[in-house]
Amino acid sequence: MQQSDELLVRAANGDQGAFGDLVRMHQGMVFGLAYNFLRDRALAEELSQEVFLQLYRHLSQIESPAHLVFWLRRVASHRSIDYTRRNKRESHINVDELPELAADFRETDPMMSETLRRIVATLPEKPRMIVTLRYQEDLEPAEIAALLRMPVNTVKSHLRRSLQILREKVTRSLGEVEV
Amino acid sequence: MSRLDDELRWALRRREPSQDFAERVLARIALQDAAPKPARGSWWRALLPGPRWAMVGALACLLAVTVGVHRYRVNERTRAEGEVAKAQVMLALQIASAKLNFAQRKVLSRQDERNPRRVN
Repeated sequence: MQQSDELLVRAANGDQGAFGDLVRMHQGMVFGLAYNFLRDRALAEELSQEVFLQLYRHLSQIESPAHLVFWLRRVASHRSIDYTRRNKRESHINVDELPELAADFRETDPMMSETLRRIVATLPEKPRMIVTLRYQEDLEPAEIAALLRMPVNTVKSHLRRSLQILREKVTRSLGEVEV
Repeated sequence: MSRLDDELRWALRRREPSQDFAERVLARIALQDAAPKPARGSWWRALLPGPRWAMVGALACLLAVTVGVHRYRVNERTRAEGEVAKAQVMLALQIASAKLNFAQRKVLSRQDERNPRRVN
């Protein structure tokens, strides 16, 4: 954390190398949020670059490494949601048209992961981002609520409903296997 | 912690962008820093530079002249209509006056016929 603090101070003072290190430190989080939400690698890279360019312009406002992480998550989330809304980038995947899951799925089965990602992609913007933040960043509903500026209960109900959809699809595919 | 939670954690794990991602971010920053910035205090000049002021002035003058001419014409038309109305009233009064004179002459001539006065 001390290293992050120092990097932040150096970057805020115009040290490009330090800023580059900050980018490398957090690019997985920012790119991951954009990619898991948009499911388009090129688009996610472009959007992530814009997030870091915006960070560069607002470095003086960042108070601490924790604030930096919060800021990056918030900007990446809002930019991803805004992009989807602006470009009407609706997912045309119908949950019912998805291939059924293999009955003998094992942990971290690539097919299972891909199918789950595709089901998540069918969710509306806000619930999709809530699920992404919950499982990519392991955030609690209260933290997600603060990031997306929405009531905690709304986050909880979106999460509950999204998981219900996911569970229904997986259960339908796997029959009696407990998920 | 359900199995679905674990699968979602794996499916939605963090991802790494392309290897030169940070370098491309820094290159874009360098490009932005190198781009010429607008001079301080010139925003109002950019909004209304000299030639545009002149055009605004010319348009204002043209508008004022047009409005003035229009109002003059409206006044002229009103005055002319007033003149015509006045002439019509005068004519009507003249006609009425002539008719009254004629009627009065008729009345007087009848009276003379009934009461002839002899002048010796």
